[in-house]
Amino acid sequence: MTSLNRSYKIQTLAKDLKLKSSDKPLESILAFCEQRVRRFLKEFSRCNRPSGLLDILSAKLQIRFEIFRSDPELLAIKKRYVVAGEKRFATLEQEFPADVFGITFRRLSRKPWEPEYVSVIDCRGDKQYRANYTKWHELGHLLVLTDQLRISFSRTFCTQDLKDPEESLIDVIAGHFAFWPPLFAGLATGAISFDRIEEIRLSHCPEASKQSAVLGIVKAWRGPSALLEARLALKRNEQRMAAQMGFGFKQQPQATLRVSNVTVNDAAVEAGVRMPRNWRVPEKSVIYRVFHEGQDESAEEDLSWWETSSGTRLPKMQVNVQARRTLNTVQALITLGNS
Amino acid sequence: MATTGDRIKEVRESIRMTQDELADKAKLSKGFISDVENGKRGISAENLVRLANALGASMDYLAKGETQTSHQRKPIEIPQELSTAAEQLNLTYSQTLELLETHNSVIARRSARQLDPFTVDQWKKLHVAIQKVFNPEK
Repeated sequence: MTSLNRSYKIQTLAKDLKLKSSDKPLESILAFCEQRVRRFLKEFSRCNRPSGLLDILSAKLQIRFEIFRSDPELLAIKKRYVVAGEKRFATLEQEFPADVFGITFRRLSRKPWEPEYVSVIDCRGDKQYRANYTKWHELGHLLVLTDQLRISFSRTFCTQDLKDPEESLIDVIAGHFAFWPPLFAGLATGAISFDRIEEIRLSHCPEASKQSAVLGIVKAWRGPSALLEARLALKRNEQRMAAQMGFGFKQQPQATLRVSNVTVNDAAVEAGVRMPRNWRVPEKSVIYRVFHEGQDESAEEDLSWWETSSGTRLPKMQVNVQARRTLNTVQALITLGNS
Repeated sequence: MATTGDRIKEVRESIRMTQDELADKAKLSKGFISDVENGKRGISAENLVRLANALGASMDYLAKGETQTSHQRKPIEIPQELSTAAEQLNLTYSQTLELLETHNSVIARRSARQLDPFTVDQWKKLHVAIQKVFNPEK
């Protein structure tokens, strides 16, 4: 979040959206989107599910989603839009390599009744699990679309930190509205657990992937909650040296269990919970045990167990930690000790 | 003056969809759609969204008979690579602008990596691909 606030591109976007200059452009942009969405919803008497919100935003932002699950379906979409005179669709089948999930086009040749945008979403193979989130991502782009062409281009061959700041911002917007807290108000309360999150997903937003639901519902939860993901990784400086093959004759460093991703909801931020990325997981934490032994477990812990090799510690805070092993990672739900 | 019902019927017929099919897709009853099309009933914003999404139509058009073009891109410079490609392909100025506009109609792409800017060769390939599909006899 902080690094996005420092990004020149995000500051420029905030300026293009005519937002008051601030040292927190990310928050200003989110507030701008929130205001737009609430304005759209004024016409509607009810909207209580994410799928309903998605339909409303698609209609208001004038976007149509075209989903394909196979190569023939992709070609059928291409044919339909080429016949309609959309020239950019001439190369559509070449536009979806493994790392592209969705593309949004402005229609240049449309009938008066057709929406202004069409978003083509790839649901082939494993990409199907990201399809719902990709729709939200594409809507996120339209929520902050300005006159400026800003689609991200890179001139670097560096393989680290390739993600464009605007794409990261759009992910924040997409994640926020895909699990918009007002739609979870009566559900995301009380004691949080992985089972409860899955129950809410199945009843309220079955179209969302399990992974996005865990992240989104933790964010939407009313009480202080955080989701931590840990995996084997090197220290940051070791990562940099490894990328440059800089160890020479030195012994290669060993990867240890470290925080790879953290999501802290607003209530937890307010309560002072912080969990820096890439910190080493303490050996006495249940997270460490679950990673090495594989059995789901929970425990009462203290955040002050967490410390860097230079001795910096997190402040003392009693927390409850529920940890579960996934394929290469361990996920942990962290709540305040008495919640 | 055309009503919302008239426009729903106009769009539905232009894409050759029956009331049954529309009812099925929008999860509304055929009777309701028939009543709306014939001006016997009004329609809520919620149901209009359902019909718009089922028809692949703009909600604004169904409601008001017009769609707003929300964002007009400001004039932008022709990239050097496109300029070179246009010279090599003997494109006129308007053809060059059209190729640029076509390229820029991609407004978002969700990908795990950033894109490199188009090279001269990629501009040429895009032009050739468009020609192949839209003017195959040339």
